[in-house]
Amino acid sequence: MLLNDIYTSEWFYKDKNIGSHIKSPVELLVGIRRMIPMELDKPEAQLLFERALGQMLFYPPNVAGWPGGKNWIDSSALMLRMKIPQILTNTDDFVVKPKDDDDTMMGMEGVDARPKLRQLNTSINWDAVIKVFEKTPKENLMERINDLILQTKSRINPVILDKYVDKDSRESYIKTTIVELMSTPEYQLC
Amino acid sequence: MLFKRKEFLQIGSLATASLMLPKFLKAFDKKAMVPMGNKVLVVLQFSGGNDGLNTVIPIRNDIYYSSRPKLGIEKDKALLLTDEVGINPALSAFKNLYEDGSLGIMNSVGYPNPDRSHFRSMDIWQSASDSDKYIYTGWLGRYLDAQCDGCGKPTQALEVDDILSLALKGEINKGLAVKDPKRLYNTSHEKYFKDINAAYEKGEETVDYLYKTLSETLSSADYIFQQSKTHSSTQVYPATETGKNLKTIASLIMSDINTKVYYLSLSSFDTHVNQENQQKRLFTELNDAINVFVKDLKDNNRFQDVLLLTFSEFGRRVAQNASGGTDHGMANNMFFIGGGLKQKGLINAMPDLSDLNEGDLKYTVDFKNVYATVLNKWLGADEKAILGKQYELMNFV
Repeated sequence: MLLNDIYTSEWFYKDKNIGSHIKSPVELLVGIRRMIPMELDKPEAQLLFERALGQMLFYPPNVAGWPGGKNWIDSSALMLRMKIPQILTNTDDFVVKPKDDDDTMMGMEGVDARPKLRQLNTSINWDAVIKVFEKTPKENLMERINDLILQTKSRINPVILDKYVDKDSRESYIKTTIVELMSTPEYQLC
Repeated sequence: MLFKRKEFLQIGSLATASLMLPKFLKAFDKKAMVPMGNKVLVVLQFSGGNDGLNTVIPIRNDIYYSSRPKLGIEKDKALLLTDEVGINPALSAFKNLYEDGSLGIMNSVGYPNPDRSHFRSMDIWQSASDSDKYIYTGWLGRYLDAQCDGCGKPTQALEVDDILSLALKGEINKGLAVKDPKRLYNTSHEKYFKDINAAYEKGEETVDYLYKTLSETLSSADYIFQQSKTHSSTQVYPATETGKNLKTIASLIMSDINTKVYYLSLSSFDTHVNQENQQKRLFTELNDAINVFVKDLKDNNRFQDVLLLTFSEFGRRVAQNASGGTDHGMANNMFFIGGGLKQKGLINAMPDLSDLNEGDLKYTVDFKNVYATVLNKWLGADEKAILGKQYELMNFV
């Protein structure tokens, strides 16, 4: 009933309510992994990202839960959030060390799973992603990807984007456009 | 790009940083500078719950030795401060500081209705909340809110870490976490980030907020890196994490950066098992780094402007446990280090081991009184607005 009301209401789809919510770390990570189907060689890396960004699933800071909103964002968190698409697609190293969690470590170092990973290896099913754009003509590709990835009204200037995407092939063009668009402030919102 | 002469002078030394700011943010840049010679606060957090009783040791207390038949540090091993009190043998530099009049020890610091969870108790210390309330901002973050309304750069409070602690998150302003100024500089020098940032035009509110954070990060990264290079220390710091972190802090304290608060932590104090070796290892790292840090500050005439304070989320129980360690307790001691202390040595009485709260030390000093004192007397801030209540001020600074 309630959900029906929410999802069928007009205000839910109003411009001012779309692209104005700062994704929680889990929403961000899930969003990336839904868009780009991938397998992590070290699955525990997911936990490492959650910890570094301040949201461990099923482990809220207290009974009141995560404060959310702008609380997710400070300088270092934003930098890391904008780097994660590159780390997950194997183009950057992960050098951030999350803080210790003494409540689960109980004074025993190493009890807590803290993989010392730098280089994360992911296998990505890019074919599935590229298939989505099969029927899109080349000249509309960037706009189409832009619309699919970003939900804000603010868009990344295509002239700038064009400088950073790899135009060697249609595949690499799609791949790099997606990754660059995910590495933006706009992508932090939904 | 063409500048008129007058414009060029106005932009001055901030030119590199401000060139990449979006236009609507440039106005923020001007207020960021704070006069030199200002007082600086360094907060050093011992994460995990440091055992205060084996740090500052009651060497003539029978209850101490009978509660800790194995773990108690014998009188002739401790470094003597007074006839009654010794300090952990790994803290020789602290004994020197004590004799020098640059060390203050505040015993029995805590808060009412203490919590034994690391996370929760640390939250309480960092947010300065009562133990039955949840606050999502930190005491130093709220200091930034009160002090730094409209500051362009979040460099007034820096944490030497990859991730920012709650303590430095305010409602409006947040400090900046930087483990290594050079690395932050390199990350932020990714041309793509700069390009999209420069091209952004003001629009939706939350997008503006994110771009404002991005601009501040990019310009701060430049600023911190440039400042960290201006002073090259002649001192050799230990190659430990704490040594490196204090070296970074010292180099910034010696520059004319506008930072008022530095924050760093040393972790793994949760000594449920094999406490003696673990605490010794951590204290040795701490001691050697502090020793060089103090020398560095003294050589550069900055020691009287610096106050370093240490705290831990809780102390440990008076009695040892069966695994050669101690379990979570309540009140604990704090160290104050600096050339500007008004009260030196043992500031208050040692904890009363004959009057315990279920086997734990009772607190006699609320840590919020310590914060209030530091905020008011050292940082010249409105401590009542920051802490939400009037706390009686103490006299150590």
